[in-house]
Amino acid sequence: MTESEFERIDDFLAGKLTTTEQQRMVEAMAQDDQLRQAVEQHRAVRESLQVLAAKKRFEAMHLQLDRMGLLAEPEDEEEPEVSLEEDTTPDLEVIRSEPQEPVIRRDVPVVSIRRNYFWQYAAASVFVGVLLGTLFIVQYRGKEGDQSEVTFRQYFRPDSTNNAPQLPSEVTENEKELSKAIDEYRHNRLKQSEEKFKTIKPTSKGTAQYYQAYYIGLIALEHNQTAKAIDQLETARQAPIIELQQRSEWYLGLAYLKAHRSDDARQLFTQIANTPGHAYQQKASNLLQQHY
Amino acid sequence: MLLPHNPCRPYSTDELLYDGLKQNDDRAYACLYAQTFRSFAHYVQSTQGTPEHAQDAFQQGIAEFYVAIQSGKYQVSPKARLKNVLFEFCKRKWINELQSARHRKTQTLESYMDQEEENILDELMTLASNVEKVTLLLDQLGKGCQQVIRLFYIEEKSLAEIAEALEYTPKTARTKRYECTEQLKKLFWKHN
Repeated sequence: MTESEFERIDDFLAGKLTTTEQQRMVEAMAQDDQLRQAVEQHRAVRESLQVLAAKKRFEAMHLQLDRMGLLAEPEDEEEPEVSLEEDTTPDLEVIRSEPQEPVIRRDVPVVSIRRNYFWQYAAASVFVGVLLGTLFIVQYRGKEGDQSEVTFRQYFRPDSTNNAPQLPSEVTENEKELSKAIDEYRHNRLKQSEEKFKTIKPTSKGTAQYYQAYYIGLIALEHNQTAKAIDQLETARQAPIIELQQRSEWYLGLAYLKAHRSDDARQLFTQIANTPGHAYQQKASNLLQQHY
Repeated sequence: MLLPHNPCRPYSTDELLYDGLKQNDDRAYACLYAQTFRSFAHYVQSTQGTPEHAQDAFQQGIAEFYVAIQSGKYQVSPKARLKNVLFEFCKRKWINELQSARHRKTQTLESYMDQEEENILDELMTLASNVEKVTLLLDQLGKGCQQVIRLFYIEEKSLAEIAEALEYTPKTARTKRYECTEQLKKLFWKHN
């Protein structure tokens, strides 16, 4: 088998061919026994490797279901409440055992004079504090913003040809339109890609809406439209497909970074870095170490 | 992965659940996982397995089940409930493991499945046996080939990422993937 035949078969089995190419391949297999046999031989090995990849997905799923209490035995379900009570009791005892300080002083004239000075000093201090704080924040934000931009540029890569999420082979809804729009994106024709994505009218039941939001978000990010990118990627993140969800999370983190929403970015990258099997786990750890 | 508190809510029937699985919806797999795992873990522990054995065997089983569904090898049947088939499949794999060298014990295979379910299970067991073989053969390849195959097919990295990670040119990464996969296929079919 030549390298190009290999790639054609591998793409066919991965569902990477367009509907027309897929159909052509099926027709060719019906007429060519040798090709059919080659596909079946490739399929057996590919499927086995696919199982090894899928196992990682279910390891991550187990952790989450376990955390949600969906794998626990019924009698174990109340345990967390018991342990919470145990945690709070000592704290209450500590609070109760603290000595009571006198709160009200009766020395009226002295208090009155002190109060007047106190509020004058306090007002002046607050004013100076706000002034200095504002100056500091302006300067700090400038530096932080520069650093965020540097980190963003270092980590942002467009979702390239082989890097793009694959459409599940079963997605028939808007499949052609989606494939074309994704193809435009892969070939860096962002304007055409966005136009094509905008014409797709996905139904609320299917997954097309999430792919649409994901790519429109990526395009917006490349065009420095961070608010739009965040909005779209937050939608894409709700996709019921782990692969797409994880990619959306990564790019959403980068969009937060670019928008100087440093806390949101840190929170999301921490979540990614702490999720076993997340496709961007390592990258998120590296980014956190470097940037924060 | 964000899962709802009740991942089974959209799947009131087996047909709806099967549609969700076919669409590779995480909620459907989470529902099937939550519905089946506990019974299987009980079964494994009743045969002196540990919770870790149960988890590992079940994850391997559901991963194979997933591939069978995606490839169309598993077709929904009104007679075979999804969770029953998955449970029975994982159970048979576990019994095979018990009968392997490490836990040599004789287990009687009690089966209450009808012919249609038996056929599905045979198909799944063939896939499981292929997976076992590929896993063993992968270790026989050279280190470089193992890395390329693992990164591309298991870690699902792109060729560009592989090239970067292994310091290849993109063209070399592409050719390596071709040569190494062909090598693995040859070994697989030679031993089949």
